[in-house]
This record gives sequence, C-alpha cells and structure tokens, in this order.
Amino acid sequence: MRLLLQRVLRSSSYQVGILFATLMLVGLAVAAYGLLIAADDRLLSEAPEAIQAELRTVGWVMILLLALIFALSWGVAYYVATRFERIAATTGRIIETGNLRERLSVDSSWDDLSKLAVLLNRMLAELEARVDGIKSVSDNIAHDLRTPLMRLRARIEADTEGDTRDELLAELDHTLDIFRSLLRISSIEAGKQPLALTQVDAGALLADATAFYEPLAEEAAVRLVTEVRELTVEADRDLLFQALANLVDNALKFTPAGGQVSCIARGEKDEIVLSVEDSGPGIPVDERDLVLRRFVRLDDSRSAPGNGLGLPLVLAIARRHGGGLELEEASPGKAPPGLRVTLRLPRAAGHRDAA
Amino acid sequence: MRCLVIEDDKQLREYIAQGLREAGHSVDTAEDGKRGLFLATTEDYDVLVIDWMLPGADGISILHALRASDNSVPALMLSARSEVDDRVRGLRSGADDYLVKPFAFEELLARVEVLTARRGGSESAETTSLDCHDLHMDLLRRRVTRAGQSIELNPREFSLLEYLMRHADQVVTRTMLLEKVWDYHFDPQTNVIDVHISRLRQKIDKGHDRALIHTVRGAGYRLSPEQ
Repeated sequence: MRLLLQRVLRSSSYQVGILFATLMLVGLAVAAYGLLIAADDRLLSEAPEAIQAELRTVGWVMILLLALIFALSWGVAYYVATRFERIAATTGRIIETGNLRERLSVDSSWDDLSKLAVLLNRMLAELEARVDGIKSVSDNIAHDLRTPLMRLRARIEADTEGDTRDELLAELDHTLDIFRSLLRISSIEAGKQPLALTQVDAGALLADATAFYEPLAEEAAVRLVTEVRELTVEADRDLLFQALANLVDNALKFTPAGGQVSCIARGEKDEIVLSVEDSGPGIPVDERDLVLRRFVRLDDSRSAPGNGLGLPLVLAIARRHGGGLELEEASPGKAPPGLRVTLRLPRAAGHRDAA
Repeated sequence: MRCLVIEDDKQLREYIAQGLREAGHSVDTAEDGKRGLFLATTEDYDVLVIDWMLPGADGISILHALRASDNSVPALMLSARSEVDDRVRGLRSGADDYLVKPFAFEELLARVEVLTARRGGSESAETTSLDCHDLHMDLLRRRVTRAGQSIELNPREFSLLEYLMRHADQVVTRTMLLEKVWDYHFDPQTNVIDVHISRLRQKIDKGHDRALIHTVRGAGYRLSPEQ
C-alpha cells in the first residue's frame, strides 16, 4: 500500500490521473446528491411523473458515465506511468552498463510517448555510431602507428648506441606499451574475441599475483597480506590474472612505506569477490568514476609511474566476464582512508556475456 | 645456423633477416606461403620464423604440412593477434613458440636461439642435475650449491634459476621468463622481473668473485661463467 502511494505521488502522469479522478469523484458525489434530491418527493411532487422518471434516468447515466471516466483515467494513468517507468529503467541500465547497443521498446507509434521512445532510440543510435567512430579512429591510430614506430625502433637499434640508444628505446617502448594496452582494452570491450574460459581457482590466482609482486612490496617496505581460499570460477585465466596483477601493482604504487596491502578472496552465493585494499591516500568519492576512464590520472598520481590504463583494463575484464568493479574507502574515518578495489565475478561467467 | 624467414611485409622481413645475419646466422627469406613451404620442405633449416597471415598459404597451413610429413624443424610463429586463443591455436598447429607483433628484435633473436638449442638435445627429460661453472643444481632433491656451499631458495626462485640454467649461455628475455617460469601471459606494468632477478643475484653471486647472472642491455638476462 505504501509502495503504491509512493508510486502515485512521485509520478507526474499519476498526479494528472489522480487530479482527474478526484474531479470525477466530486462530480460523482454531486450527481448522486442530485439523484437523492430527485428522489425526494416533496421537492418534485408537483412535477409530472414523466419528468421525475427522466431526471432519475439522467442521474443514473451521469453516475455511470462518471464512474467510467474515473476508471478510465486511473487506467490511463497506470498505463502511462508504467511505460515511463520502463523507459526510465532501460535508460538507467544503459547508463549503468554503458551498453549503447541496447534500445527502448516501442510498443505503438500513435502517441507522444512512443514518439519519445523512438526519438530516444534515434539518439542512442547516433551516440553509438559516434562513440564507435571515436573508438575506431583511436584504434586505427594506435594500430597504424605501430608499424612506423616499429621501423623507427629498428633504426634506433641499428644507428645509435650507448645511453642514448637505451633512453630512446625505453621511450619508444613506453609508447608502444600504451598503444598495446589501448588496443587490448578496446578488443576486450568490443567482445569480438571469445574468452578462453576454463574453470579457474581465483584464490590461487590472487595468491600467485601477490607472490609475484612480493619482492616489490619488500623493496617499498609495504606489508603484503593475503587471505585467500579455493574459489572456482569460470574465467579467462590470463585476463583474470592481468586484472589482479594490475590491482596489486596499483595498490603498491600508492601505499607509502610502512603501509599495508591486503588481498582477500571470498565467495558469495552466485559470485566470487576479490578485493585488494591499501593504506594509501585513497580516492575522493567524486573522482572514483573518473579513474575508471582511459588516460585519466588524478593530480596526486601524476608523479607515479603509469599510463592511466590500468584500472580501465581491469574494468573491461570485469565487465567482459559479466562482473563489476567497486571502489571504496578501505578504512573509513581513518586519516589516510586507503582504497579498496573489489572485483566481483559471477561464478559462471560464460553464460552471461556482458556484450 | 640456417634460418628461413617467411614474412610478406618487405620491411619487417628485411629487418629480421638483417638482424639474424648480424647475429651470425645464415638466412633465406620467402615473401609468400607457397615459396616458404617449398623452401622449408626442400632445404634443411635449423629454425623457421613464420608469419601467421601470409598470401598463398598461411602460417598454420605451412606448419600442418610440415608436421604431417614428419618435419620437426623448430618454428617460431609471428602474429599481430595477441589473444590467448590465437596463441593456443598457433602452438597447437605445431609452432614451438609464438611472438606477438610488434616485438623487439632481441626478443625474436633470444627465442630463435633458445629454439635451436633445444633441438640440440640439451634439454632431455632425464636430466637430474644442472651445472654452470661452480653452481650446481640437484633437480631431484631440489637443492642448489655454489662452490660446495648450500644456497636456500624459495620454490619460485628455484624455478627461475632452473630456467636460467637450462638455457645457460643464452639470452632469456623478461617476457620469456614471465611465460615460462610464471606461466602467465600478462603485462606486469612494473619491471618486477628485474627485482626477482636482483634477489636471485644476491643469493647466487654475492660473495663470489665471478658473477654468473648477467644483464644483457636492451634484451634480458644471461647465465654464464663468462662476462
């Protein structure tokens, strides 16, 4: 009942409908009152029998009519509100998942709401085409520049020597790395390549990733703690390892000496939860979505090594597996709040292709 | 060592051929699959470098044809396709190693040299111990000694040293170590491999006059008694 009330109060079409329905209710009352008066013999006793009967009929017809209008306006309000809600739900989902390929359902073509849906669909198509355009241009740039850069690399290898050679090669390899990462994210997002899905123990994978970075943590005087258990999940082993490696690598980069990085793997009903938390400065709430975008590096991290493609790659891998990524404070209320990044994957990824 | 390079991109073909020649190998080249397959079946090579996408016959068909006729010459497959699936398909078709474009020439050279050395039979299954100068590795008891002194290694350090010792005197790149010792195909973002090696170096070389683990500029590492 409270839910219905909330729905009614918060929907503009319901409000109009209710206004209408209330008016009709008032009319209904008036008509009923008129009928009562008509029934009163004292007032109409002088009127001929025929007129009395006619008045009574008119009264009944009016009541019927008003009741009909009441029901109809309520029905229309319900119908319109439901359609609005459907449009809102679909739009919300598109924003949430970033899947521009989805469309609103158009059930008719005669009313303004259908026109709105058609228009929104056209806007989505336009957006999709433009985003695809931008993506393919940047992919093409990345792809087409690789060959000339390879040639450049060959020339540097052949014609220079000593420290200059090493510096130039390092610089060029960094550029090639960025292109490779960029193309990799696009290819995962596009979902053109099938995932090499196998039954993977995600706990062991996380333990392996931490073991791999252990010497780095020791050098940086950061305590690396793992708390894992066996967790079977259907995933692409190399991609999942890449995602976990990126998370551990990130956490180590932003944790000051004497700090701690904890890697935890646990299972929930239908999904597995892998989280990496650090005792670093954390990320302000309003910037958390930002760091998931390509090339975005927060001001504080400009000095740290990296290209701003680490977390976007993790996000792409998570979504490709039908999962998601969450960023939050590791220890809320503490002076450096730290960051906890949580990767959630459905246990059976293959059946839910996050296209 | 005789190499055959089958690659349709002229520039890349010459780049590889020239590099291999400079490293002291003799090189034949083919610009399409048919000519490549003809050369590979009629001549005797120590190693093949084959591009996946080729006009005439693609890399996979060439390998299929060769392996079907019991030709087991080691082959390195080059491809612009980096997905794990492709790598698996490439290796299943009979390639001995797989390298994704773009690559550094040192990476290709290191892999080619490891492939040809493997053919020499140094890596047999019955090997129970490995030696390099005064460094000794007992594979059965999983123990390492240098100049008679026992060295404590954790399992990962042990496998890392084992890989280096199995490929003593050869250059191994960081990517090769990632793939072969850690068994993951991924991009570590930071040069963690260097830190692993420097830890190993601490345990192996510290306190000894002769260093065994060497850094090869722009390429990777080499385990060798010589500088």
